[in-house]
Amino acid sequence: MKKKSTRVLLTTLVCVVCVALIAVVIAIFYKFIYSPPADEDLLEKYGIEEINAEEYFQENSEIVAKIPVEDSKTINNEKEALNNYADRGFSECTILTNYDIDGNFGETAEITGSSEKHPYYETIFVTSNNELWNIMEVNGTIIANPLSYNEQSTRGAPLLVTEADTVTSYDNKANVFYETIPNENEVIVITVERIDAETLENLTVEEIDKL
Amino acid sequence: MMNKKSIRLFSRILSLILVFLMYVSIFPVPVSTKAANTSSDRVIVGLGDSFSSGEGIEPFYDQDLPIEQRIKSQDWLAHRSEKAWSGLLTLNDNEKKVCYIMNQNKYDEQHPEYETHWYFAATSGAETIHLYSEQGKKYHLEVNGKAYKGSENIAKQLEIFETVKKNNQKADYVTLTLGGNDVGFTEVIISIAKTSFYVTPYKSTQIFREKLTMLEMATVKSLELAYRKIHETAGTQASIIVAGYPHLFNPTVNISSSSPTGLLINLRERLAVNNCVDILNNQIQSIVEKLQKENIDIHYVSVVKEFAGHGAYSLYPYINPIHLFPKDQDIKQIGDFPNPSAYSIHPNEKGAEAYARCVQAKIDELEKQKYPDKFPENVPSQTNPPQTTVIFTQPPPLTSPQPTNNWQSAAIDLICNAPDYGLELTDVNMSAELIDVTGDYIPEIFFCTGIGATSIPSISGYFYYNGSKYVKGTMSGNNGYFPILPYKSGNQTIFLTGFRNPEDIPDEIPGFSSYWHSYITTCQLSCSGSNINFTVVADYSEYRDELIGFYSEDEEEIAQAEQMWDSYCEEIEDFYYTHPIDPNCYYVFLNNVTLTTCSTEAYKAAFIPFDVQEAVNQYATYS
Repeated sequence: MKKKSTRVLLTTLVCVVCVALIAVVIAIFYKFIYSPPADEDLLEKYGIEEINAEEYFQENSEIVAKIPVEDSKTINNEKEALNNYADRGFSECTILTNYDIDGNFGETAEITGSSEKHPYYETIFVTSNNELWNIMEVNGTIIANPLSYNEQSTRGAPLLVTEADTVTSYDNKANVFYETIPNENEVIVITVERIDAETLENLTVEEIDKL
Repeated sequence: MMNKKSIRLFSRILSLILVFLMYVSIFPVPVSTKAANTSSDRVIVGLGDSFSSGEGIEPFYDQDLPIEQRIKSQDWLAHRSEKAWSGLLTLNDNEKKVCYIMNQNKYDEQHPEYETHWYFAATSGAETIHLYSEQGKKYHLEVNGKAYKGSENIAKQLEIFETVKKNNQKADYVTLTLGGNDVGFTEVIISIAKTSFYVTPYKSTQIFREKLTMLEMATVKSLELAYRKIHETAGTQASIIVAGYPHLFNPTVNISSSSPTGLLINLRERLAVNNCVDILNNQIQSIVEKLQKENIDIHYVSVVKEFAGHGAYSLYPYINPIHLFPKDQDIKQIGDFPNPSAYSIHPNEKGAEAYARCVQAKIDELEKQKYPDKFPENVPSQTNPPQTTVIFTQPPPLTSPQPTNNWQSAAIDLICNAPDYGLELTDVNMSAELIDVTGDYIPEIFFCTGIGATSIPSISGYFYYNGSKYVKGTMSGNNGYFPILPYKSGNQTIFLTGFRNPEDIPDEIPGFSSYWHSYITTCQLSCSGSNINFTVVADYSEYRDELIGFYSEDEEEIAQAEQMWDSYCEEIEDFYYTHPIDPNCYYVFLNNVTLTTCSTEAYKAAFIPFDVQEAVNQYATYS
């Protein structure tokens, strides 16, 4: 009887050890050997063409400057970005970002005013006559995308409003900024002295059409 | 003589066989066999998401109720449209000789005693899980200065089959679109729309990547489970028809003074969205094919071709544009911006009709398979005219030659009495000129149709639809479809239109493209030798300068655009079409006929060549 119960105990112990070993092997496999399909693989698998930003800007603009994010002196941290937006009359707006300083794209998140830096911020501004703008801060510069205007526009290219002659774009893959003068058949640029709530209130769809 | 060992072996084998038979009788091997629908009612159950509910196509059921009742209405919260495509479907009851149009026979829980042939449970925003779990609908709107905020649960969609059963009915067909919300197409598009491609060129592909991951991991499995559940719940007599999704955007930017160009979505982004739609459609189709191999009565219908050339921001869109602000009937009108309308990037009324055409074609095909005796492949040609006389209720004004035999009369009768056959003709200024091209008596009638798009202004002698209901032949050639397709086949009905005397036809034969059909000025038909020639005259001159003007203000660029434009016109102007005259067919040419509605079965009964005899036997009045 004693011999039998010892045999059973030993068998059970061996089984448990085997299961544990298998679990460890699987864990090691997933942690160190298996890698999920790379992001590029999925796009390639499904035939979705990913743009090459450098080629795109070369073909569709005059590139004025190409600035690696790490070299930029004008990127705002969250607190500075909040102040920048507030100074311009966008204090009621929720400021969001998708990118960390290394260019990783993630879920849209509301910024909190920390000292963390992000290369890109954005917010939605609604004017008193219900026109929608997307206000972006890229490398510290403000660009406004007139969504309501572009929604109904019959032009051949979308409009952007800037404070300078150039448009700053963000390539998060290479983690660089491009300062460009876009070709007009790609983007139509309207330059204003300052992008703030007051300016955008006056820059209605009808006013833009007159420009 | 068998020895003991053999006997023992034999008896063991016998006992094993007996045990197996006993097992099978207690636990029968499940075999998915198609049970005939013994119910005499013809029933379609419409399930699915916003593409099936008719999101964006007003009026929605119960939208005219006072707000306090509206926010309690499942139909309104689900944005079930009175013009949803599954309501446009028809089913024939061959015994009662009736054709049911679904949205005229919708189940009304307030009046369960009413005759019902359509149960509508599709819900805007539904994901696969909402087939078997409730879908919460949050509303927040302001009406007459008063805010209404809350939420209601929409019943599990599969629960509709309990209602079907309670009414002692069984579904003949279950239609649906599903999966788009699981992947999150609308959300993707709105995310992309509010960003600037030029400022963040990788953002849209990064968003797509997320969705593709979801598609790979979750949506495929949940769709398969969903279809199985539907099959289980609806019963084996039901044919499940899964419709795919259309390409949402036109792959080109169309500049027009009258419609937005769609600048919120960059061209590359449009192509990527359409690509994602293809991926989802392929996945759906694969799942359907897998289930078909298990003998499940399920079918996939693609709508891509039907929508080709009619994406959002095309010149003749079947899909709503993006609306950045909510519409009056949106259930969430108050919220953080962006708060776009749920109508955005959903099929419009024309889109719903396009869906209905595709799914109806599949239903018709399945009906023929299920009830082959009602759809004979061949009607033997008759060499002698019938002796009966057909009485016309509305004789047409005819020019010579007058009908010379009863079959010709029967053809005119069918046209004149079209409403009785489910055709509604409006603005008719009909002068049907009969051209007996062969001089012989012909038992079959061959009609060729014209345009399949929206109304063409200032066209004489043209056949077009009022609104956008039309009969389309097969697609061939360019993107979109050709409006004129003289085509004879068992499943197609085509009208010849706009005839002229051969002397009126100019020497040159300009052509057309479906894309530029709005510029078509005349359509000409002629018979020459053994062919019927179709030619279309298009005049683009009025629009040419306007369109080129949008291109650029640069002289050089304008010159280039002009050259491109002219060479394009040259290309399409070479088009013409000839069709050999079939000596076994009788050709009827009609002028200025507008077809508005069509009950497919009655229409086919009236006009499909091999059904003519049956249609006359059934519908004509004899003396």
